[in-house]
Amino acid sequence: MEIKNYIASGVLEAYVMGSASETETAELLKLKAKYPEVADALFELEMDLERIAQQMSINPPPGTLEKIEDAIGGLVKVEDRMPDDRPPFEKYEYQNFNKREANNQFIEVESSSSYMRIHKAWRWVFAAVFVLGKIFLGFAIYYYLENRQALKTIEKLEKQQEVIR
Amino acid sequence: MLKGQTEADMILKVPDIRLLYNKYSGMLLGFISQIIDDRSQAEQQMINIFKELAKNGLKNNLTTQSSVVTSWNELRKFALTYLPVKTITQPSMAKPVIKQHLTEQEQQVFNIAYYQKQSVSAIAVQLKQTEDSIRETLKKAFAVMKQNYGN
Repeated sequence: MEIKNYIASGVLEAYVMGSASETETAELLKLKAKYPEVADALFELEMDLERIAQQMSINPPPGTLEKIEDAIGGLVKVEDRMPDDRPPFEKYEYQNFNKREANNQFIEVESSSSYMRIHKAWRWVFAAVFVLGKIFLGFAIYYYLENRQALKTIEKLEKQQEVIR
Repeated sequence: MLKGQTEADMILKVPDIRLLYNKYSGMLLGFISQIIDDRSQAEQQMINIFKELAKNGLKNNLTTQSSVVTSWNELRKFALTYLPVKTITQPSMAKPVIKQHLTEQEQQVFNIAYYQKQSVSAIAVQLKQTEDSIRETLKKAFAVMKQNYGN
């Protein structure tokens, strides 16, 4: 088969759209591996589709990314296989859990991660607490030294007073 | 959870949803809006699709496969598995100039393939055409759009 004719047949467009049959797909993938021009043509078509999509794009409203991140933040994977080195009790719990959730591999629960997500506005609060902490520490050291100096002066004066008497 | 792998490790290895969002969210919302008329529902669907994408990324990561989506076309195909099937009779290609250049049949074939991912044989049956003519029409539609949207 002439490769140019194959590229011009419209099979590549059908494949990119996801409309090609299994036989066509299998043949195309073989030819793609063999002929770089087929791979290039496919890449071009993918780029064309992306340009079309860009022309029809609609910007999502602000805050959508945060909603997505919140939605995926609590995902926890429940592994199918149980590591053999876990204690028997854990294995038992896991097996029971699998029975209940046989058809649902993923569950959404509050994450047990040791990390926490907080609003960015808190950074200013933390910065203020840090700065105030430093100021109070400075004052505390200053007044401690001042107090110690005052005590020494009093002690000295008392000694002088005793000498005068 | 795999041995020696913490939950935090797994979350960090999920395909970079933020990167995909920055690159494709506008295109995805535009695409979904052609299938779901209500904007807020379309936005919610987009959120759900990104969530499913994260789940799949997590799943594939655990089975040491690569991430599921690396291009717009892959994201489109992935999204279609979560979107309702809607017959789009009147295509809403963004620029009127495209509509002018595409014949009614080219618009129809392109839309069925693009928004419903139907096979060539199914489109041929639906439009009472031969499979070869559907492929030919699809090719022409691509050529016209490339001419108008291309560099």
